[in-house]
Amino acid sequence: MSPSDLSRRDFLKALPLAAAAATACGPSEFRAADFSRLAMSPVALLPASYEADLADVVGRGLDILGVDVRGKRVFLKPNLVEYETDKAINTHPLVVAGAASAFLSRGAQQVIVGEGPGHRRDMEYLLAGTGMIDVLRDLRLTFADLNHDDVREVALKSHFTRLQTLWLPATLLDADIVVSMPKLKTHHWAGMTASMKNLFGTVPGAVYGWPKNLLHVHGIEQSIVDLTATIHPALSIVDGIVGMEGDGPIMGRPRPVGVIAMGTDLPAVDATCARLIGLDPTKMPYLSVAGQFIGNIDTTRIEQRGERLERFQTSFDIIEPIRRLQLPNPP
Amino acid sequence: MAGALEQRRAEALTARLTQLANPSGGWPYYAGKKSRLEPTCWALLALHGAWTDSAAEWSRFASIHLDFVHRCQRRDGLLSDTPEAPTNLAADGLAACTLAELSPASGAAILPALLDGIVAVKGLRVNEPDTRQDNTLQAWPWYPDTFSWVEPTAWCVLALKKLRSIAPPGSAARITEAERMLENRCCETGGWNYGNASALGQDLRPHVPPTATALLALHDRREASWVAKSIAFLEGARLKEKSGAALGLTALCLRVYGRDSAIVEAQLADVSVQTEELGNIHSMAVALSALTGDRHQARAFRVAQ
Repeated sequence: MSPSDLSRRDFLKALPLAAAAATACGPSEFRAADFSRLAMSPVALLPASYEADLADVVGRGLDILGVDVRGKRVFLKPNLVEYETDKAINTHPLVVAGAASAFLSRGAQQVIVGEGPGHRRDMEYLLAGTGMIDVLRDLRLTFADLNHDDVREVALKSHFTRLQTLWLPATLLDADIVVSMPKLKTHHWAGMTASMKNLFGTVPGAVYGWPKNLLHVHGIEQSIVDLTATIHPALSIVDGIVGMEGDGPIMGRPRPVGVIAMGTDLPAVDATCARLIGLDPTKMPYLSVAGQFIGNIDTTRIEQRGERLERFQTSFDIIEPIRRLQLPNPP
Repeated sequence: MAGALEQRRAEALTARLTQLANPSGGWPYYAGKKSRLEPTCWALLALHGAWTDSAAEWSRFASIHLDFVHRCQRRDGLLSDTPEAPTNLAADGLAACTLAELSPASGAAILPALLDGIVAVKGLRVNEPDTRQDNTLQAWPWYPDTFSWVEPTAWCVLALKKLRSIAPPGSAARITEAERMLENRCCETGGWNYGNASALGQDLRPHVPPTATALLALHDRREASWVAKSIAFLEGARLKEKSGAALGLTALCLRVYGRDSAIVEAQLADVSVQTEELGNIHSMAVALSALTGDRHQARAFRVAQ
């Protein structure tokens, strides 16, 4: 069969993620020696609003987690997808501003903001529409357009996509600390998009095109795992002040949650976010697999810091195709 | 005629683009980065359109940058600015249009093989049934062995139409199928996004830049109802996406269709300050090309009809 005769479904059938999630990952997908999971993964939940001093909120989170950024080049990767005034699609610029200020005040050498949207290649339109351009101006931050950056070929550290390498942006690869800064949203295929799925925006469009179809063809969930294993961000800061429920990640409705979630273990942060919105992380294949070698998703291995989970738990409206991923008794 | 602000902004962008060229040839997407095919082609087209010195001076200026384009050619005829990385077919189509416009003589050395390479690449045929979309139509992908999308299809179609006289056998059939694909992916309202008119049963919205790009490739089909609907969409949305690339492509497209582009160019002159601040050379070059449209009449994007 030539590649031209394959259907997208055939591609997906051939991939091993669902089987890996149901059993255990095999040695062909990753080298166990390349990964070490924490005995306990701290996740900080901090009450927040867009009117609050978000530099203070993020700063407290950094203190709670014991993150040291002195002298480091910090790369902030927010989620900028599409601009619509009445939707909660993107990481709010004020959260990015708060994070940048917190890192700079704690001695970071440089803070770079970068994103490579998958639906839009017109970064200027998104930066201006979302107001992110004002944050960049006010704080004099460098912006890296990851779709059009210089690129380097990188060996993947796991191979659920069956890919061996990916071309990734040089500015991202050269950072000392990569911080995933997603918006907390439902996702009509993957269930939820948060710290890990946000990494799709690191794949350069000038190489792979728009949309980032490479990642869809090789499996969305497989790609999420391989990108997280390879880029291995040191920190996640989730904008859950207002999330998106329903038909996310673009067509859903805003849903206030009032939280900033932070942690150094991305699967642990995302598992916590899933529980916050009424989804069961153990039913989500990408989180189940990531929980076997990248980080922790079991509640017994996640240490909740800051506020208790129950304070923010909000039962998001979940559309039918992903209803199977709900917790047995959603909040 | 362009107003004073448009002329001042064109002069500023001309100076900035000239200064941002890499000494070894070509332009990067952003200052200080490696030269890439797409910003190089757009910068060459834009600066050529704005050029006021002699033709000999232009040749002296452009030769090192055209050499960069030539150095990108691989054995299969396609161009690649990053050795070992996948070839970007949208950039290859644009490069063919650029060489046809600026350098027919020196372009002759690489154009036939480039066109062979373009015609040899087909987007994947996907046999998955879809009530809205015919996924068996094969046009051009972003890079080989993947699915067909709007932007690379538009640039490759435009290149083959512009260079019909030297295009390889099979080109006409490829153009026909690619136009069917563009018709199939046209949004309900007219216009295009990256290439899915609907998802999960919902109609998706068109975006301005891919709409303008697709329309450039289809301006010899302006009588087709779906093309007419799309130009109507673009006219309605012409000021909605405020960026150098969106306004610039829109102005060029309206000019090629013989529509009034003055209000878009006036808005672009304002917005181009922001474009320059953000530093995307591709967007700056698109903006400059649009702001000097009175001089070059968007000739690089026209085909003989």
